[in-house]
Amino acid sequence: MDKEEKRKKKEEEKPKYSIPQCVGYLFAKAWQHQRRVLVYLLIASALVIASSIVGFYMSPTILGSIERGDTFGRLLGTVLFFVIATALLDALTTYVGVWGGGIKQCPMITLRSYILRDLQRKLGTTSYPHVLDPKVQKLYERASNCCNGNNAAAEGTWGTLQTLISQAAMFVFFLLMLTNIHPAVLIVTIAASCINFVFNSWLNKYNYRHRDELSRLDRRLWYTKGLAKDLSIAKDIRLYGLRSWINRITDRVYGARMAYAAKEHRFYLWGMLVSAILEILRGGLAYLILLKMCVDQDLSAATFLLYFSAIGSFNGQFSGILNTVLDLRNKCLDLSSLLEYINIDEPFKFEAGAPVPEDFTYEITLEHVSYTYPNSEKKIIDNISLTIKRGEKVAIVGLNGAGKTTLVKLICGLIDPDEGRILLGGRDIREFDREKYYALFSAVFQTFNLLDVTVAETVAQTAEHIDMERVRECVELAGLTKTVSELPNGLETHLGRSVYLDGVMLSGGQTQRLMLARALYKNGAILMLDEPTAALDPLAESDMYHRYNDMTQGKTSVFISHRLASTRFCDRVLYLADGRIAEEGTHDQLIERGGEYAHLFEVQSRYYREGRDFDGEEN
Amino acid sequence: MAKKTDKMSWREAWRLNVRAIRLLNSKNRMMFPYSVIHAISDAVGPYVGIYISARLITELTTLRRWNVLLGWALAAVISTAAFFILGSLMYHFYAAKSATFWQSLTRIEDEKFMSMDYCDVEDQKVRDLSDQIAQNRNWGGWGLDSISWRFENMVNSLFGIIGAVALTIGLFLAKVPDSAGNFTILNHPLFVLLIAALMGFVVWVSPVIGGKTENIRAGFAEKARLGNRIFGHFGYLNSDEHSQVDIRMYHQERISEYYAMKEGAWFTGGVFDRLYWGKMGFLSVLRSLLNSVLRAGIYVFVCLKAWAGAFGIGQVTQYIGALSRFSDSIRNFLDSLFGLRTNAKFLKDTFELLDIPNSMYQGSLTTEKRSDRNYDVEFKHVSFKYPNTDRWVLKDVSVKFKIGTKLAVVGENGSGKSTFIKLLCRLYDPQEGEILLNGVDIRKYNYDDYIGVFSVVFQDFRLISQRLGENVAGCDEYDREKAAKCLEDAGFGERLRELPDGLDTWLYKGFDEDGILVSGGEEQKIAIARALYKNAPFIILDEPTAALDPIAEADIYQKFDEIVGDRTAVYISHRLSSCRFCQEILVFADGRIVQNGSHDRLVETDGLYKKLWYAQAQYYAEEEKNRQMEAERAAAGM
Repeated sequence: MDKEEKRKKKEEEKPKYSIPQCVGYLFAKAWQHQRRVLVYLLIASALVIASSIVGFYMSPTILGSIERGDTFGRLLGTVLFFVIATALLDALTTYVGVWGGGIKQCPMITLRSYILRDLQRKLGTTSYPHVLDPKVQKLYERASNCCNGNNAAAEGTWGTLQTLISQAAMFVFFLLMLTNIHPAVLIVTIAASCINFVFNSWLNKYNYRHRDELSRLDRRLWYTKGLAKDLSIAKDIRLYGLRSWINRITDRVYGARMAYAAKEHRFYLWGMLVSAILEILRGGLAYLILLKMCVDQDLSAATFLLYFSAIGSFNGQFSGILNTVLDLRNKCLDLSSLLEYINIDEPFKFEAGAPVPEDFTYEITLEHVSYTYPNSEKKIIDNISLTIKRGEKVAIVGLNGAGKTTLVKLICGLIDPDEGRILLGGRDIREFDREKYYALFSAVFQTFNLLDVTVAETVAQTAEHIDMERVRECVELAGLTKTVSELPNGLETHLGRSVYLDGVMLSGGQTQRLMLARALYKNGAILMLDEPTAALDPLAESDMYHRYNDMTQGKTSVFISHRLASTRFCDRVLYLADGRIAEEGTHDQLIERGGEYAHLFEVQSRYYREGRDFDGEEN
Repeated sequence: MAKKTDKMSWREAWRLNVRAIRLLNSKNRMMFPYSVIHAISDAVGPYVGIYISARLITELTTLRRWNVLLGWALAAVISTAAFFILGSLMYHFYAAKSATFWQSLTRIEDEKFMSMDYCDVEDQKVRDLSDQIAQNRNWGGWGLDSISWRFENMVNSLFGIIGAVALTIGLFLAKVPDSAGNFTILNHPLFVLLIAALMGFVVWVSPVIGGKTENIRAGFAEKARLGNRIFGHFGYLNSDEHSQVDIRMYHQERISEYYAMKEGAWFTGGVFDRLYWGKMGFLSVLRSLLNSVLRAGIYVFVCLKAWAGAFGIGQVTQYIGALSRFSDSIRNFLDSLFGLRTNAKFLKDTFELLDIPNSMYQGSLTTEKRSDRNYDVEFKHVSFKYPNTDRWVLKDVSVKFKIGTKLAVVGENGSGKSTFIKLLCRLYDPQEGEILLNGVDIRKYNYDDYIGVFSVVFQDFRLISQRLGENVAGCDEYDREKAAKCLEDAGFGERLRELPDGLDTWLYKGFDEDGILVSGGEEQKIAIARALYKNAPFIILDEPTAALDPIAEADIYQKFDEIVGDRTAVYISHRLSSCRFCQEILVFADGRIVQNGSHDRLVETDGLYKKLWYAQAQYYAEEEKNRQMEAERAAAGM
């Protein structure tokens, strides 16, 4: 990589939001949702500071009292004072949960959930092209690291802040206390800490410098872990004897990861050596100066102990601050990604867009539309112009890769064309509030996102205010009534076993019907069906076609398939090839024409025709 | 699975833990030795420090000889550095080994899954158990994971106890001089007992309280696991492009959010919060107060004795330091012990999984390698239902496979077609009846030999994110020409030639970022190529053209004869068009074979087959009727 590229990369990797901005964001969220988190932060810091101070003075004071030969009463009083003070502080510290657990824990988890909720809301509603953009997806992954666990940035930062506050306070405290000592001690301590910190930080960046290699190793490790329990692979493993091959792959992956770890840790040993040397120097100097001071100024042993602890604590607090700031910075890297993702610019209009008027003629027009996927060079849709009138039943057919699904996504407004426009009732859809535009469509695509909710909730796609009558109607229309009645809890049965262990797994065909019911419940003005009968057996498929008319009553519908039987039920057929509309007309017109559609139909129907050999020759 | 609050006996806990340690040690040879040495040096180091600084303070309070002071100072500095280096060395060796420790734990389970009987892999109960073990790990680190650090804590605290004893003996032996008057009472052995009793009381009660706390937590294991499952499933939306389409079309972020925020086991006001405010909070405060009481006792006793003249303040720091560590160590030791016992309950789950017997594949007969591919397979009155279910999926199925025939299996969804094939592959054993190969029950055969007779492509086949050629061969060493030929036969030839890396192309991106993404149709062709490479006498295809468009499908049909050659073939499909080139058809309904015969015969007979056929053919046949009528008219008109 040359200099210019290196500089650009570094520029890209700098966080867009500074540490104060990120911390400010956390505080704002806490103020909005869980103010007690802020309260606990203050209380916890105060407890740590108080405990440190009391703990610091305990030994030297008591020993001093003994050394001086105070009265029994005085000594006992001193001892009891400190013991009771530490007891109270310890009890409070444990109860509040300064070092984990305690009453502090759940509010922090709750706050993290709110932050996660904001992130997911963004993920679920952001302009769809962002989902296709690998850069944005990477940003999302970094952002979601914030919420992954108790130590992740969205929750762990509070602990970091607490530590930082207490360390800073104690640092000042010890600094003031040590003003009597020869400044050389402090200077050497600070110098040693800084050198140690800088050197070790540079070492610890090993993983960062090798992050490409590391992420490749970890990705492979992650992948091989997934192989063993996957049900589908389980069959193939046994049927093709793949076990020894997979074992060899796994061995190699583990070996590579361990070799990396060994290299990494050998590297760290240098840091450890440097730390040890610095500590010898620092400690030795401290001892030397203090002992001399003690002997020269005839200080008591208790005083020696006091100053010695102070120096040790000073050292600890200072290097602690350096490490805590580094930790804070690392957490803020994730938080910065989170903020960047949440605030990303939207190419689509949402609230700022115009509402879709109620009395629209839902006529959709494509004007010279072209589209290419990001990171691709081929135009998947090439200069298509088309009008779908209200109430029309259109079939879009073509071979795999012709662009059928892409065309559907364009019509639905999930992606915007690179060239040309898409109009609803004469207005460019980019003007509209995109979410209101989506509301016009009831879609069943080839892959779906199923959640572990009840059947009724799946059909209605909500958990509140479900119109059960309508749910039953849609289930009936999709031909699922019998299946549902056989489920243990009927419409209230959970689907899937990821969360609620009494859930049921539906078969492929049943699921496809359920997705249809879902689309019907939404009752969008335009129904889009993408290969809806792929998993159905012949009788079910035929059943579906017969219901088609009932389902599409009063709606515009678009039916995509490469099973040409379906085109019977449509007013118009569009044959797509290489991203263009190659042929257009009714089924009969296209057969008349004898073009590619006719050829496709002939190929498919070949085996269904009686009296012919299967290679298409007449007997 | 036993409730986690049931008490486990110490003997059983011991047994489970020993087994766990042996298992872990076998997978990670040097880990335990390193961690033991680390624990020891961690424990002993501070005592050396305490001892030396005590000497230093003593010198300061007495003679203040400069060179002696310097000597002790030097000793302090060097010993700290030495222990630090030793500890770090051990830690780094340990850390290097443990980089993959966590994954190697799951590998133990993974290997079990790969070697299990298939019926267990698919068994919901087994999968639930495996999920439960994962969840135990996720929410509290319970299970095999925590053995290593709990064990290390135990060793650490054990040596802590030994070191402390060494340094505190002097406390009880040192005598208060007579000049202290009344305080000579402190010399009375009663005080030793008193201190011992106090310490004994606190260090016994404290871990019991700790154990109670852990038990309360473990008792909520169910709720915590549910909370984590909810978080994992609803807290994060699927970010792949396909799920995101649905999410936008149906506003799925709303229902996900509803569920994610609903069951707040860990939320403010939820069950764990109430515990922290209440029972658990109270117990932890109690523990802390007990420790404070102990500390008070130690301080008072030691300081009084020192004040009375039994020893100097140098010793005071030593005894207080050592005694505190002593009680801490005993407490940690007991904590570890109780923790290991509680953990043992979770180990039970792990061992339940690992102890699942591999009962199916015990046969040892080898199949004779026949070059004439004459393998006779027969089902005799086979009935089958899936484990832990009541519904019979196959009922009294009897069929004999004629060698070299092409057989189609059709029927509605759920009629038993795929199950029939699974039994043929011996992924399950039937409850009634038997399946024979060359007259011998297939259970008697060595499984690998038996399965060598079949090449199967199931509907939910999977390819591995490795190189293309390796996937075709199912191995990392293979015959390249053969693999290329199989891909050609399966219709993948042109695509193969387009690939710059050819057979070495990585599939998918799971392993290599430069891997290619293949479409559903291409995947199917590769899977068929894999079946061909295996070159078995029986080839079984389950919905092999589902993802292919009509042209590609017709292509496969065309080549079918070529592909299959003289093998016996079984072809399951919804698209009855495939029945046209099969010699024999089996029609399944409700677990039985209701019809069988050739297409021509079955389509004439009134029955299920005719119904299924016309349900599909009706759309294509009309064309035919029209064209025939036109041709006749034209002929008549001439």
